[in-house]
Amino acid sequence: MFRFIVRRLLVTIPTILVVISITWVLIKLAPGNFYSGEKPLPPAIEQVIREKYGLDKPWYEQYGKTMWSIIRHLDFGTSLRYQGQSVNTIIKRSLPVSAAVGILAYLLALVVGITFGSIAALKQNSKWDYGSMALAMLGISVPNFVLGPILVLIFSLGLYWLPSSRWGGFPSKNLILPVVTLSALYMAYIARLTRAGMLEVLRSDYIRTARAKGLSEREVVIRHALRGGLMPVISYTGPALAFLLTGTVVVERIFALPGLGNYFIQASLNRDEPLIIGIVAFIAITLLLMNLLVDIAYAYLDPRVRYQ
Amino acid sequence: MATEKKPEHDDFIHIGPEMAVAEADLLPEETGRFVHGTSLWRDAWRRLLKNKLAVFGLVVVVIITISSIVGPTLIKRVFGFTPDYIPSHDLKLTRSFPPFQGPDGEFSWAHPMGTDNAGRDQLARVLQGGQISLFVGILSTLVSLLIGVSYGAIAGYVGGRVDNVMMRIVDVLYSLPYVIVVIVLLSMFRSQTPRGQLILLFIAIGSVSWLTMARIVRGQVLSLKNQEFVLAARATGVSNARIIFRHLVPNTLGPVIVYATLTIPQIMLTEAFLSFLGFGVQAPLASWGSLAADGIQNIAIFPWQLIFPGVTMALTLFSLNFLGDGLRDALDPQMRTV
Amino acid sequence: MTSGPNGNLLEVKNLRTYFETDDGIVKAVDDITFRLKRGETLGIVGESGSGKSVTNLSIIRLIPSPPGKIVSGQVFFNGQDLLSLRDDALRKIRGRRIAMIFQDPMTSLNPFMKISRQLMEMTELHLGHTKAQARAHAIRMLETVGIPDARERADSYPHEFSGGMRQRVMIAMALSCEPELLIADEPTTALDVTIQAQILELIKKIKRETGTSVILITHDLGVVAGMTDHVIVMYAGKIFEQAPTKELFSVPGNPYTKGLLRSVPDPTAEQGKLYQIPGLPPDVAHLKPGCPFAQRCDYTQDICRREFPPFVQLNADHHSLCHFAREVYSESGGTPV
Repeated sequence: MFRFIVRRLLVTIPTILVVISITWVLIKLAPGNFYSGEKPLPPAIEQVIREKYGLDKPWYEQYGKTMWSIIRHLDFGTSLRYQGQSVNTIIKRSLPVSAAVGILAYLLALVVGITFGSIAALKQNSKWDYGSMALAMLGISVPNFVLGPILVLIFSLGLYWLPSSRWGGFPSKNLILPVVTLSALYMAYIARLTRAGMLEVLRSDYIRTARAKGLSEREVVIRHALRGGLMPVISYTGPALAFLLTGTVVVERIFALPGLGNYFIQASLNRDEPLIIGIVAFIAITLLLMNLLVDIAYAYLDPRVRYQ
Repeated sequence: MATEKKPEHDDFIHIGPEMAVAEADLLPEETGRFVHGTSLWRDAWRRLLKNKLAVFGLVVVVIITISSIVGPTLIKRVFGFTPDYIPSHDLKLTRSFPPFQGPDGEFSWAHPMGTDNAGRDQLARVLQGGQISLFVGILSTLVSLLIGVSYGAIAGYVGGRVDNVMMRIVDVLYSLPYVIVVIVLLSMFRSQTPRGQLILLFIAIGSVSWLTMARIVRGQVLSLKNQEFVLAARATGVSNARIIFRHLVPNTLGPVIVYATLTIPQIMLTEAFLSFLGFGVQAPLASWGSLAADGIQNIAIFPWQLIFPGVTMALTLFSLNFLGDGLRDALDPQMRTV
Repeated sequence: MTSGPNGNLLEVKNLRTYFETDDGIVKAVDDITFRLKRGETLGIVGESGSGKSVTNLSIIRLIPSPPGKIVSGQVFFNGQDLLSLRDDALRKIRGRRIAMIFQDPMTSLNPFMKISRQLMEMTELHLGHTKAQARAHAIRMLETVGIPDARERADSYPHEFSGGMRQRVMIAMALSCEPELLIADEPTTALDVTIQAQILELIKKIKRETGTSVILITHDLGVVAGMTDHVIVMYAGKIFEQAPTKELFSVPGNPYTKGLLRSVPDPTAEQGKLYQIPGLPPDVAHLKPGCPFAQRCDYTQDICRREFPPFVQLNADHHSLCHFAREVYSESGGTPV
């Protein structure tokens, strides 16, 4: 187990460096730059800017400098657009926003999804089952950038119950619509996964044995069926996190939340090189770490895998 | 077990694809009829048709596809608008009308979905959005199919070290925040021409969606490659490439088709949100995503600008998903994981 | 311990269990009646699809309820009709007084739970043991069934045991609460021949030591010969013959039984081809009128295809479902009463 973790970490680090490098290359290759506006700048001024930001040095020097300061101090530099703010500061400031929305959304998805998926499996072919699965299908099919505004239309502009945008700190009513919008897709997926997983487990021989032992249906489900039935949901967490990231980007845009996603989009549009690289690196690290955690959890939970 | 069919098909007893009973085992007086095995496809098609939701999905998808392809031309013929036509000659017309309304509030057939802020007909734009979404969706899926199937088949067949390395690459790529990199890519290389935008989208989306397909195909090939028909082909001297592509791949078609049908909506969704964020398709081209983005701006006063593209997109995805589910149940009921 | 009338531990009367499928109603068990005396071993023999497993699942009402349903009948266990009991009363009997072991020990044990836990669950539930008591009891049971190093291995998971060991664990689990009846559904079919013998010996030993009554389901006549007191032969959801074991083997009264006996390869006989009953078992969803075995039977006559055969009593303990039961019986050497 320990060796497994170490091996994974060893693979992770070069991977991240590769991702950073690719991003860096893409930015450098792109036409245009961060300081151009509507009119081209007079060459003298342009020269000064380029000198200030080290853009006149040869590419390998720039690459080396960037990578070195990242590897050495985890210093991603200063934002080109947001004057004077270091990338690390910006990330630190915007991370809690994204994290709050993302984590809450996934927790909500887990709770609602597992509950309805289990009910659907236990009452197969009843109206609970058909109803849940129909709703789940809707959840998968309605894109979050459609669902969000519709929810805003109903709950903010129509009923005046909830604010339609902006960040209101944590916790606040501003969180509700973004979290619900973001979690809809995952709720649906998890419900379906749970239902399928539970149905399969409930059909298996060892559940029959459990019943033959005289356990009540409740005990059979909770003690025996859930463990196996939820495995697909756990292994889904890995890919789900990746999708969650992209979902967060959209949701932050719609609801004007000052999170990582929103900053990332802005940085991309502004060609703010240090900020782009910083956020990309951060996201890559988070993703890889989370995937590792999920794999560890999965191995821990399935004894057949554990003892390999 | 023999299943009896309705009188019209009285000459056959359909036994499922796995159960081919040798005629010698069935006494003639028992059956008095011929035994006819069904192919996997016929059986699957029957099962699919029985599934009403899947049929509904199929019908809707077909309708939307046809409308998208034919619609804009029809509208041009009948009403004279194209998706990007701005009636700039008449200021009264360059604003957003609600559905079925004319410039003075009267009922009008001209704009069943209303118009956007510049007076462009929404229906034409939504249909064009359909064109683009379906185009990107299907083409990207095909590309990812080609790459994924070849990659996976080769990895699975060759096995050993090569397989290990190939799959490691897939694993690493899979765990990357590729959408983020894609966004960077798209934001750096924005194109002004519609063609350029679409090509960029293809490259971006196609380069990542082949991963899961490769995994699925590899898994299938691994389990198939030790079966007898492969041994037989090898023994008669068939070249490896032929074995892979003529023998193994056709046998993996089941899961591949199912996965492809499920990939199309995913890709459409990806294109939509990329366009929504501004990185995909831009005006004057209309994609459902970019229409939604425009629509959100005015949602308080002109909600139809968002609702129509949104609902159309949801409906299409809905149908595709049902169809995909139905296909999966029909081709292999045991494959159901979601 | 009470007994039902006639000292029978178990009396199954006119049991009917049907399944609703897309193809129609499958009458998996169609009007079965039999009894089991305390301390006896009853064998239920039949090909796949004959209804033998469904019979046993019906006894403790483990039939998956759609699509299956116990349509009618009674199952008297110690005088109590299990089919009319409330769920919570039935659960007290399951595992505690009637225990069941299944065919495939790999899939019948929970792969995510330690063996000790799965055993302890039984006694904690039914006997009110504390954790410590349950654990000690579990280890004792494992030792009884012959698991070496029981104390250390108790905390392992099922996949760490071999097939034979797993079946022993199942038996240990089933016997934890000293049930009065053990139902063994093809306990050795999934195991190697040598392990089969060991498991059967184990079951015999337990019978001797605890006096548990056993119902043994199998398709293997050899197993039946060595283990059982009485045998029931099932076909297409019906009992075709029932008799004390010795009698069934020496003087069978039913063509199907004779066919089965002929199919057992005899290493001493000089045989060209191995005998096999011609044809296939019928489609139980679409049974034709008359005897379900008519197509494959050596003794078939017109009447067999038209009329359903009667249940003929050949002597006090021996019944056969056949139009020509007496003839077949006499042919085998028996004297019908």
